[in-house]
Amino acid sequence: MIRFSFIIIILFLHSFITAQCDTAYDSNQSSKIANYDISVELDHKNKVAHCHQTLRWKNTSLDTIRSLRFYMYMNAFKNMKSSYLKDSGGKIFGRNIADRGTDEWGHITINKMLDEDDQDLSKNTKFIQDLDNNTNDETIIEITLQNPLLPGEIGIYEMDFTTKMPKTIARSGYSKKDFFLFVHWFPQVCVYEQDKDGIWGWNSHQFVPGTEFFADFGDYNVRISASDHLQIGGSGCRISESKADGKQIVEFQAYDLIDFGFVVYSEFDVHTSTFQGIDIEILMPPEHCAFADRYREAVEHGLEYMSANVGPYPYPKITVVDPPVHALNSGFMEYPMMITAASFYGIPKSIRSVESLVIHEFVHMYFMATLASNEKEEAWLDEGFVTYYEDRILDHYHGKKSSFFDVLGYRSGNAENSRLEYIKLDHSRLGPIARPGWEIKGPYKGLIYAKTSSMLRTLEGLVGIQSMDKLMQTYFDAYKFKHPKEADFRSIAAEVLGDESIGFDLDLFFDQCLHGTDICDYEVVSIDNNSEQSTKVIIAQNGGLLFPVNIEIIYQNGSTAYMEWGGTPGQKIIEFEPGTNIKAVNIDPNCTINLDINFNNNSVTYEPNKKPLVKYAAKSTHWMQAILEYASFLF
Amino acid sequence: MLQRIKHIWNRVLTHRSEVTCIYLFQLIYGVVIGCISYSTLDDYIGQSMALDRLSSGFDRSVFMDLILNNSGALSPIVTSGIVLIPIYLLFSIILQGGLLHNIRIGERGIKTQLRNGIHYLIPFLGYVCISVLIILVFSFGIGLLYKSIVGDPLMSFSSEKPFIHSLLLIVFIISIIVNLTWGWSVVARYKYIESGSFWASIRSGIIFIKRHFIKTLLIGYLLIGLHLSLAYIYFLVVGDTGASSWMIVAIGILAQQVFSWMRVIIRGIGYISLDQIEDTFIG
Repeated sequence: MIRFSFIIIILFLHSFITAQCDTAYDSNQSSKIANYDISVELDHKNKVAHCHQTLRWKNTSLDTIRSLRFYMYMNAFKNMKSSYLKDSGGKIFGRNIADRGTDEWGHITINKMLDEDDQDLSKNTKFIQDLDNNTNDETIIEITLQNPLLPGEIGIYEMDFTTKMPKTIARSGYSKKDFFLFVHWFPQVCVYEQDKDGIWGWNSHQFVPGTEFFADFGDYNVRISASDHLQIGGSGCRISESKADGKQIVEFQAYDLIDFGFVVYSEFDVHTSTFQGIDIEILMPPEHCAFADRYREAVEHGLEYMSANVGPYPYPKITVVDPPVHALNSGFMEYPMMITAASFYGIPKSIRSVESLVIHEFVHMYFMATLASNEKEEAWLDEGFVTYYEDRILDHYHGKKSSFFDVLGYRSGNAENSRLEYIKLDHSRLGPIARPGWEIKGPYKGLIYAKTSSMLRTLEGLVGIQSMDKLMQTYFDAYKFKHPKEADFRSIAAEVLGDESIGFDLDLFFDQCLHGTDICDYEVVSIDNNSEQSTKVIIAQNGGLLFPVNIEIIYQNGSTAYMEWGGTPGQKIIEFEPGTNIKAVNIDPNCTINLDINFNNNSVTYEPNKKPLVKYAAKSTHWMQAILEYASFLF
Repeated sequence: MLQRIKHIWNRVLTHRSEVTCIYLFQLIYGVVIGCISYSTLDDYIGQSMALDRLSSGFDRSVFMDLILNNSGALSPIVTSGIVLIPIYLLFSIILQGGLLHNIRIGERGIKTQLRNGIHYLIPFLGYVCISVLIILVFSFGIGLLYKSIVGDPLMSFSSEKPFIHSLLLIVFIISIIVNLTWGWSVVARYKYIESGSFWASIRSGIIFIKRHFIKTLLIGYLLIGLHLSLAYIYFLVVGDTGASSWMIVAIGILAQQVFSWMRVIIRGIGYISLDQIEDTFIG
């Protein structure tokens, strides 16, 4: 009996020690179309993973499926001929990649694929290039089935594959001898869905810059065998861990994910905590340990704010990976239940790059991991929405005017920074945002991230924050664990906001902002109090965007009046009774139309406040004196 | 020690008119830039209520909207700076040369400062060129050596700590070179003032640096320390006080000018400190 109790206690302790998070969370939130059981044998010396995968794929279409298509993203890093790299100019993230040695490239190979009748399907394959017909691109493979899958059937396939890791290029890869980030590392089945016309087919675009996630939800069970000197973290919950003969086996389980990534490193400091019942695991190199609290607090802010304003975080855990500096190209990215951040030793608290990055990637757990829109075709639906919430969260916790940085009296808010990134574009006339990633050349971030964020902030300004929250909560509830598209969001917006007499055409709003290239620039051209016929105010919309906007009229006697203007492009003359003395006119006094590219010309006043002019002129004087003194130290 | 500091301070006070002359020259240039800045801001946002947003402190959107929507807005300021700085640097040789002369010979007054400064302009321009060349060659050489040893520093090091430490080491080495070059150029100019021989003064400067290597470095680092402290205090005291009233604006301007004047005083302290050591050396 004692012996039996001892075994029970040991088993309990074992599960207590190794179970990383509560795997008993709601594990049936998605339709579970693509389910993976993967065993990985990592040969860290040769940077190779030998893997076995069991795929259970459900045919939810009305078609008989005669072939399966898989993402083979690692082949993008096979050589410079892939569609991802051929137009890169030999540089990714500013780093030269063209001159690397043969063993520094990566690839993925399916060695064997058996169906349930043990028929080897791996001989009947071809690579698909739907975007550019580049026959050197091997990022999508099609495998013909011997036994077609009827509607509603589940196919089970056993695959042996080898993933050779490249030296880090864009996130995936190894750095120095012991850091590995395994993302887009296994043959992942593409999405079989209906197109706009309702016709079923594979949505399987090649891996090219500006495109990344689109996959079906499913359950993952991943066992990783590696040298025991390495630490392993990943998407999902760690459910078991064992060590023997210099080897370790770590097993992860995750439900309802669209992807699975893991990280391996020998030097991680591990920081764990729990917030609102969610486990937070931070894996960081020792030299970054001073950031642990900043990371934790940023994740907590994200969790708290998103749970309160969008919906409950749907997973039991979040892992934050902070790569060492030599693997910096692995940072700045999101994977379901796992994000990669980036930091640099010594970044002061007043520069919130760490916080903004962690919060941005965390919000992807909502817009990408849960609302799994097609990032390849409609990146704005995740990156843009994420930036909007990144701005809101940072501004909420760190102040509107200082949430991005606050150094020596110079400061900027995060939302303010997003707007500036948008107006910095050369400019929004570059193109509409609602289009596939491969069509966007040039400033992707300014368009997809910043313009979308500014659009949503403008919508928030027009409908009010409560309505905006209601819209986003309804959207999240309706489409979580699905693949929402633009039409889905717009129909939810019409449903939620339409009843609230918002006073403008919502369809026109989205058409203009998503598919148009017009800009918004309100201007007060002049105030004329001296005309005998009437007092005249001339205002203008110098762009083509049509938004209703508030105008503040301040009279000489101190009274204030407000009027609404439809924002029609061109000039408009507003006439007042003769003798009306207007002191100032201010269009959009609260700066709610975030898409307005110039707030400075939104107002004209007869009594300008000249104090700041004098102050900044004096500052210029002082800085010039300082420059002269320092520049002449040898003179 | 206290006696020495007191002595140096008294000598700085003796030459307050020359120091103030340098300060006033810088002020004139600063005011030119200040007026251009005022006029630029007034042209673009002078009638806008956006100015109210600047009353409570720095507002990035006001400046960025101005710059991004008016691409040439800052060019009058930048162009004026590019023209004015080289002109000032030439004047600076005269002003500093005159100050060095007065310190070394024991004369006072702005007239002698300017007269002798003009007299020394050409030879002192030579010291400036040599100093700048030394610093550029050493800095470039060290940078090249670092690059050839380390390669891409972010990829080569196992963490950013050694990278930062290596950068700090480079900055430290360059600061030594800068300090020694500065010390050499001041002493060489003192020697020229006495002997009138360019080559002999160069040689004397080198001998001085060899003999008073540590002292020269200490003075250099003391001056750097004073400048850094001054900058820190500036941001602490003046920082971004806003412009909510004319009183606050006026106090801010006054404080800025005090700091500008103190920066020139620090230069005087450096010259006189080296003069004290040089006296010992020659003696």
